[in-house]
Amino acid sequence: MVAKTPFLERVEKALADEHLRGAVRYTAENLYMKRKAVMADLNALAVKGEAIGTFEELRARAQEIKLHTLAHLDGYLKQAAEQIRKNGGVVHWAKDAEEANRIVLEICKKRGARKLIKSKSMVTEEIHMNHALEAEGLEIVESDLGEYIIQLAKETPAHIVIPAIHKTRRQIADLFGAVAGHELETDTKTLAGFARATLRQKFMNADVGVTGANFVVAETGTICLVTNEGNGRLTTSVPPCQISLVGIEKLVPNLEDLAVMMGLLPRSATGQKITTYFNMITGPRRPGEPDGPEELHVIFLDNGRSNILATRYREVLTCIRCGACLNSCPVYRQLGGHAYGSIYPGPIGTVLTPLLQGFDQWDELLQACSLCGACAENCPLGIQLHKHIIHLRGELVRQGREHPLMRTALKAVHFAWTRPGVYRFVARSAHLGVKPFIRRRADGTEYLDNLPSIAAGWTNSRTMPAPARKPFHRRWAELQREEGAK
Amino acid sequence: MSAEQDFLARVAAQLGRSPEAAPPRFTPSRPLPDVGPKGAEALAERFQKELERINGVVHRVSDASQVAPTIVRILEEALGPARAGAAGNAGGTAEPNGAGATAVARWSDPVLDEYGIDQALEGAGYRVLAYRPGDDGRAFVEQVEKAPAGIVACDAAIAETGTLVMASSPNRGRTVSLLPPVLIAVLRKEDIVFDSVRVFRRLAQSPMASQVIFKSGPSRSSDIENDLTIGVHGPGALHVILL
Repeated sequence: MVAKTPFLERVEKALADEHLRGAVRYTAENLYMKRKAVMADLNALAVKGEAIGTFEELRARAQEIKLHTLAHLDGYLKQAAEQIRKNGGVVHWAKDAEEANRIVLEICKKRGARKLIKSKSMVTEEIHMNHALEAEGLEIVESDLGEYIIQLAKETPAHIVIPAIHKTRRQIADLFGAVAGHELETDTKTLAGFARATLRQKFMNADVGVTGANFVVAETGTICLVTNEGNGRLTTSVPPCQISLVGIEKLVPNLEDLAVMMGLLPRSATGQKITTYFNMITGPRRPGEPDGPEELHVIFLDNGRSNILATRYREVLTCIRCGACLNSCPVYRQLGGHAYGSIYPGPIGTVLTPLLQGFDQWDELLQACSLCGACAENCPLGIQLHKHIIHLRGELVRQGREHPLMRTALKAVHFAWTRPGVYRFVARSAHLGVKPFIRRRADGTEYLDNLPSIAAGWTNSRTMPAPARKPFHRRWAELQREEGAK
Repeated sequence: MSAEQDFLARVAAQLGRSPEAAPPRFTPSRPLPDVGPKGAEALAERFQKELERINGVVHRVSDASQVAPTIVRILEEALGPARAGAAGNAGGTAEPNGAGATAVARWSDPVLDEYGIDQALEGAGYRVLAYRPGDDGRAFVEQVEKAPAGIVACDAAIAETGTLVMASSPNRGRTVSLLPPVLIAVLRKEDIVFDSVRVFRRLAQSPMASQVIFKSGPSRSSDIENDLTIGVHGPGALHVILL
């Protein structure tokens, strides 16, 4: 028996959870189909001269924008920082998660802030900000409806765009009921109404609003937030202090570039032409304005990103976190986000997580891929995720991290396949060698089942054709002889 | 400053060079094309169609004198029962326009003054809530939070997506378009452009406001079992008076 690793345990748990799998399948398919339809619309409009480009054209332009920015990232970061300061904001630099959390805590301490409200942000998940702040006795409340549900359930998101897809309305009503102190009806209107009223009070009483950023425009120092519910706007309009945590890869040079990025992001994420809110924040509240934060802090976070710049994986940093690769991935569709164990699941998580955090915990993630390439096809930045997965697998082998049995098996294959005599012997005797595992179908064809050891992983859920009784090289030789005899 | 220099030097080192003093000018391989219909009426029709697709309501009026009556009609349709209820809960009907009257928030921007909105609202029994220079900002936000509706104007609109563009300023509080459940926006036909490229280019001409929003339809979420719900955090109803 091969011992089960934590990853395989998570996979097994996910596969056994019929409800989770049904919800993930439905959501992923729904988003996938919506995306497909809206991209077809976009292409038709572009042909009519009613859109700035087809999907392919926007994708090429977006790649150009992001790759240019990454190639000059230090210059653009400097420009953005200077602009943010000119607008009255404060800029901080965080090398890693710990530094970022410490900066947030210091800002809160200085202001005497105890209550924080947060709009949906993957980067704050990445640095486990909630955990760090709660450990210091601060209250931090998620305001995106899905994230709020997940926070009450003390879970992690199952999808990067729709975090609570795996929760039923019954479960949500129970979670909200516990907050309300009485039972709630399970209809969407009641539940959403309860969240609106509860979170509205949290917004009104919050000392600090915390956001991530979808884009930061270097020429103006503008922070851009894309939301549908309006929580991003509330977070940046009501509390007296705003903290925005920004991964350094979020920069774009100019305002005009946003037209391209926004042409792609909502369409790729939810199949919308545009989200309800696209919010651009340039500095804190100006003199004479009635609302908006009086203090604005921007924390630029590296946390492993700059290391990727120097590698062949640089284009991974162009990711805009739309989730299109998740929705198109046959592995994600079976598992959902939890099995990955990483903050970023799906194909992008499989590539990004080991790049940001090293192979140690994450080498097995790289096996959660069939190399079909659907992710790259749907990616609005055309990131070749499946190719990166192959290269990362290669690095695993170079570092000697592959499964020992796999190493032995591949060495054996290499030995046999590079020696014609051995190869012929193996091909001839293969049928005999696996005979105990050969099953015969009604139509006479044969397949392998219940293979032992690491091969079990294959035959547990698939069938594999049995080796031929007479190998091809032998049949070929016979055929040639017959042809010659004619 | 040194934390910044260290940080940038590290990024530059990964790019294999010393830090840049400033980024180069980004010149894309091709300029973004000018697309879409040009005529004001064609743009207005497209805007209306797109906004209606995402649950917004468009009220077309032919001249400025109709703006205020349309606002009153929208409010009475949307809040009619709520108003009576509020008065009932307060334990009696306060005299109109007094402290007990329903307060409707609006931008104090002079753009809205010319429509005679205040007189019409007061005539219909509402109180008008607008921020004036020197008022306490926090107190204003708290009142706006209780207002059943907010009235704003628009800097621009995007026909391609049914989007309103609004920039904040001392006269244009962010929360007026955000906290009340009903949002009424007055849009002039000539302010509609076809796509966002034109808006971004215009924004790049002058310093950015502290907050510029693109708002497309009422607030929405599909976070509960993929079931679409309207009005989670922002307004649940969006009315555009198209002049």
